Amino acid sequence: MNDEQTLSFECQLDEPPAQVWRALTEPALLAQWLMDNDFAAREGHRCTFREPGTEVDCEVLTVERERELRLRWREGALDSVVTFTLTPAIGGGTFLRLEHGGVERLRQGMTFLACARSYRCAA
Amino acid sequence: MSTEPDALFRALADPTRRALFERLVAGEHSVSALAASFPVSQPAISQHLATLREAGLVSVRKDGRNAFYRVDPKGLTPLVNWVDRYRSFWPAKLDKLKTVLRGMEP
Repeated sequence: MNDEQTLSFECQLDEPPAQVWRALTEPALLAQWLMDNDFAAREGHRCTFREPGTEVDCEVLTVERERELRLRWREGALDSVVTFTLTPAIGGGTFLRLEHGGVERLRQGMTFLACARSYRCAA
Repeated sequence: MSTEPDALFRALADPTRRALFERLVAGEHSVSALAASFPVSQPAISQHLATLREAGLVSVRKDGRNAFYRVDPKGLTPLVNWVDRYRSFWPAKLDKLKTVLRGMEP
């Protein structure tokens, strides 16, 4: 997948993967940085993330402890996938990568979007 | 013009419609010119173009008996809004994550 089809963010964290994993998977910690939730780190678990103006229906797709967390991320018709990937960094920290991309039809839409952008640039 | 994401995604779901849209990105075409270059009937092409138009992805210009279609990027507004929102949403959330990590017991 190229950049037009997936939003991706990377950051270098001082804390070790075990600690980052807790912040990504414990509901009370998630609530502090992401949104209010009834999350559980169990594949197949369905939950809701809420903040004013936003409600996301979530399904836990992949749980690989301290390595990868993949979530189905649905807001009405906008159906997407969020993936957190943790890699141990030299010095004891964590390299965190967040990818927000589409399941099939959103990905098609993103391709269209890239297409229309090139159209506007060409026009 | 519809700005509902559902209409947009229905329009995007079909490979012939995607191919039609991509053809129109290159420039305006008449229905008959499009039909000549796709292995489907002209009524089928017209139906696909109507779906794209309902989703706001293409616009039509009538000239005598001919209808000319061109891309209307406004139809992608829901998707553009979605991408723009998350482009700022995640960096803000990751900043908060860093704060939470610093405050945690190791």
